[in-house]
Amino acid sequence: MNAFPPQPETPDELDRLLSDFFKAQLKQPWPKAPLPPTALAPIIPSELVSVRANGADHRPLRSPTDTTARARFTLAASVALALGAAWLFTSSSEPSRMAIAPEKPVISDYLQRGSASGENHPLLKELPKNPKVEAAPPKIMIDDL
Amino acid sequence: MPKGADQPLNPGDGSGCRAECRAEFETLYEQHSREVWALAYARWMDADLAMDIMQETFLRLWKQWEAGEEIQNPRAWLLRVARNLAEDYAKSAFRRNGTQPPEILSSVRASQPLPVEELERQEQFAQLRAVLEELAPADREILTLRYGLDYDANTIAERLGVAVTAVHMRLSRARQRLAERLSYHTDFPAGQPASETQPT
Repeated sequence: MNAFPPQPETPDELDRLLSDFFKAQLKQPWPKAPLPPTALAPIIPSELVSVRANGADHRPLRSPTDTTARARFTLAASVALALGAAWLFTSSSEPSRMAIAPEKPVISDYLQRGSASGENHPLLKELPKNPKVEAAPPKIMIDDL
Repeated sequence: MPKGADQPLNPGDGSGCRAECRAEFETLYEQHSREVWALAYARWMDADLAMDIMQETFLRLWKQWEAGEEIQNPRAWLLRVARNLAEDYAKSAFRRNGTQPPEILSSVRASQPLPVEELERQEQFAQLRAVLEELAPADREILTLRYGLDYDANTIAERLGVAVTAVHMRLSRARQRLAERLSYHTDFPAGQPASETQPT
């Protein structure tokens, strides 16, 4: 048994062997150009030009794969949601002064106004004022009690 | 990248050049991709690796365009980058760690018995590959251009930047060395006048 495969015996056969060998190494069909994703993206300027040239409807040119617009929209929505949530949180955690304010004034209101005599009470203000009393208010001594 | 003659095209400038650049890129690919492949193949005798190097070379060309780099001679640029990539491959971890040799991998892929003729052909190819690997890369390159791409002597001379007579001589010597090594491994007569069949 022959240990070696049949060999070319003439230059023509050697040429044929070489040609067959190298041709077998070449891919068939030859692959297309390896265009990167940026090169394969839709060409918006050309679309714009063609739309204007054809006088077609002026609907917005938006690529279905335009992820930047979607990302911008998502970012804006997220910021708005965060701001709204923050506003709601702060407004609900801080008690409203109006919500707990009593309808009528209480003693503490007068005390806070710096007078314990009650002279600012509305009823006292409605009483006719005595000029004598106004001139010389009665002095109340402790011994009189 | 030359637009027509030497005006650079830049696909990243947003001026609508991308379609033009794409067409130019595909034209360059059609013109030079096989030659780039042949260069890488002649270096490593690995068709898949040569394909990877060729595609990486063209991807780098596109990146150069995107970066706004002007390339006056795309073919020379492509061949230089492919040559560098092929040399870098020798230093890469993939090359050092390697996988199995192509002969072993091809036998692994053969899941079904081959016809006798195909088996003989594969054995011939395996032997020829072994002999080609013993040749100098320059010999493999000129043989690849001649027999793989069917370039004639004038085209090879133009591509390699040498005289046509030098192509004849180099091709003849490469074939002679190939025949000698084949005769060393087998009973193929080495004294065949290899120069009889010259490319036109």
